[in-house]
This record gives sequence, structure tokens and C-alpha cells, in this order.
Amino acid sequence: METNAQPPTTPQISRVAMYVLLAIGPEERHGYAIMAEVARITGGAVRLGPGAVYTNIKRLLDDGLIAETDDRPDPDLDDQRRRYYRLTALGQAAAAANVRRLETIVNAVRPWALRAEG
Amino acid sequence: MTGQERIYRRLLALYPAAYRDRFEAEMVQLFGDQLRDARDVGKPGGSLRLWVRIVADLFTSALSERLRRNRTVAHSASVAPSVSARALGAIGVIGGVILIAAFVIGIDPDTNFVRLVLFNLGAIAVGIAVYRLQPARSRRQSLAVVVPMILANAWYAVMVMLPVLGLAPFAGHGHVVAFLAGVAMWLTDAMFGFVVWRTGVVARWVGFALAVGSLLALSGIDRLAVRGDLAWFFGPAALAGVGVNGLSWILFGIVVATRRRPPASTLTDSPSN
Repeated sequence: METNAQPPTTPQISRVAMYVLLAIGPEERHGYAIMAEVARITGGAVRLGPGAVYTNIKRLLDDGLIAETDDRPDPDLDDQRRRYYRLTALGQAAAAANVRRLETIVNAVRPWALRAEG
Repeated sequence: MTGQERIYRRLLALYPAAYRDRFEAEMVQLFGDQLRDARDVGKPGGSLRLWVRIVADLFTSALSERLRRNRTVAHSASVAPSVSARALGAIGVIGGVILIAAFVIGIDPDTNFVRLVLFNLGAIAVGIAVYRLQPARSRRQSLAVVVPMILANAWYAVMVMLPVLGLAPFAGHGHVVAFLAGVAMWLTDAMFGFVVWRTGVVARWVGFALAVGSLLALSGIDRLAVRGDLAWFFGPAALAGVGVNGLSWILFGIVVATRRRPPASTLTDSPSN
């Protein structure tokens, strides 16, 4: 039977929402930085467009997993129109739960899945 | 803002207004960043490839956001559809499936009457269910097309059943009466679909499809067989119309069987179920 390591207090999120959550990580990031980080952590396999980025940001905001931050960088260093997002405590718990779930899957299948590669 | 950014901003009209108000500026900015990246890479056709990805991203995410919004709004204060609505919807689905089943499986001419009668019953059931969901402001208009539609479908079903029962009450004019029943059925189906499209709170675009499908199906009625040199169009068009008509009843059936209702305290604008 399938086991779900995610604690019941953290809402279920889609795969793309998980990428966005993990891309924000411990930083405060705006949409472009999130998009670039998703591409980086997935090795370029996932390239999100503005629609995917912001519909998932909206869902994560609605679920209380991320929040918009009031802090703004120095105006000389960044465009003041950008909005920055950070993980909430619930978002950090959800990120941890998702990483544990992925880790469990990888550990379980690694022995045979990589055997063919030697 | 560049011309391409202006075009992208216009396309954001596909999203719900509240979503647009909140994220439009950021999305246009992110699109501008991606456009700049595509140009910086310097590969030929970079902007074109970006647009292909952007259009796919736009349509899928806008559709997802609209569906999600509708689900959220509907589920926040609503109750499950009644047993009668589920039953009427199920009859509509069965009628539609049976109607288009003939496109896929062979139907024995001796039992074809079952298919036609079930199709008529499905249309009647959906007509009742959709009428019950109509808002009070368009109830009279709906009634004016639902009643003829129900009567025409019942008439057609009777005409189908008469030979099966061995009855011939029209003394040699049965084919004319059956022809008129067919015309009435397709026309009233089309009127029903048109009014749902114009006034309905449920599945408006299914109403539009039903109207178009029924009018196309009407073109295939034997005695309307327009000039012979146009048969290449009207034959396939009528078949397509019957298919669209059947699909419309299926979709209507699914909608009325699954549509959640407002709570009793807010039923000022819709009939009780």
C-alpha cells in the first residue's frame, strides 16, 4: 500500500508547485529568479513560463506555504516592480516532507535503476 | 513596454480578472525577461520558439486557473446535486451515448427504435433538468423553448414506436407526419440550445454546440435533401450534426448530474430541486 510521508497538516501540492516551492528555498525570490532556479535544480528539464510560475505562486500563497515579503532590495540593484516571495513555516514543512518523499523513492529504486549504467 | 509585451499583456485577458489584477504586471515583466534572454542567446528563431512555449503556457495555465476558480467558488457554499438531477443527467448521458453509438457499432434495424426512443428520453430529461437550473429571470424564455422541445421529442418517439406496435393511425400519411416530427425535433432542439447559449447559467457553449449540431442534422432530413449537387456537403454535415447533437446531450447530462447547487438560503434566483 502506498504510504504518504507528508504530514496531514501540509496541503497536497502538484509537482510543478513543488518545484516552485523548492526553488524559492531559503531565499527571497521573484518570479524570474524562481523560474531560473527551477530550470537549474531540474537540470534544465523543466522550463516554466510566466503562467505556470504565477498560477503556482498563487496556489502556494492561497495554501499559506509562501508569503510575499515586504523587504525590497536596494532600488539601484533591482527593479522595484518585482515582488519577492519566501517560504512560510508551513511551506518549509511541506518542502521537507516532499524532499523526504523523493528521497524515499530514490533510495528504494537506486540499486536496480542505476544498475544498467554500471 | 515593447510591442511583444503589449501583445502578451492583451492575451492575459484569458485569466480571471482577479488573477490578472494581482499578477499581470509581474507576468508581463517575466515575459519581457524571457524575451530578452531569448534574444541574448542569439539563436535564430529564439523569439518564435519562446512564443510557441508562451502560448502553450498561457492556455494551459489560464484554463487551469479558471477551472480552479470555478471549483473553489462553487464548492465554498454549495450542496451536492439532488438525486433527481443526477437521474435526469444520467438519462441524458445514456441518450447521447446511444445516439452516437451507431457511428461505432452496427445497430440492428429491428432494434433501432430502442436507440431513437432512448435518445428522445435523454433529450427530454436534460430539457427538464436544464430548465430547473435556469435563473428566474430567464425562466419564461426557457419554458417557451423547453416545452416545444419536449413535445417534439415525445412526438418523434411516438412516431418511432407506432410501426413497432403495429399501429398506423395516419392512413398512408405516416411518412409525412414522421417527417414533420423530425423537422420539429431538430428545430426545437436547436432553439433550446440557442436559448441556453443566450441565457443559460449552465453549459452555455454546449447549448451553442447543440444548436449548431441540430441545424446540421436537420439538413439530412430526407425531404430537405437540398439539391443533389450539394449532397457532398449535406450528407457528411448531417452526420456530423447528429454526432454533435449526441455529444451535447452527453455533456449536458454530465453538467446537470454533477453541478452543485447554491445553498437553500440563496435560492432566490433558481428553482428548488
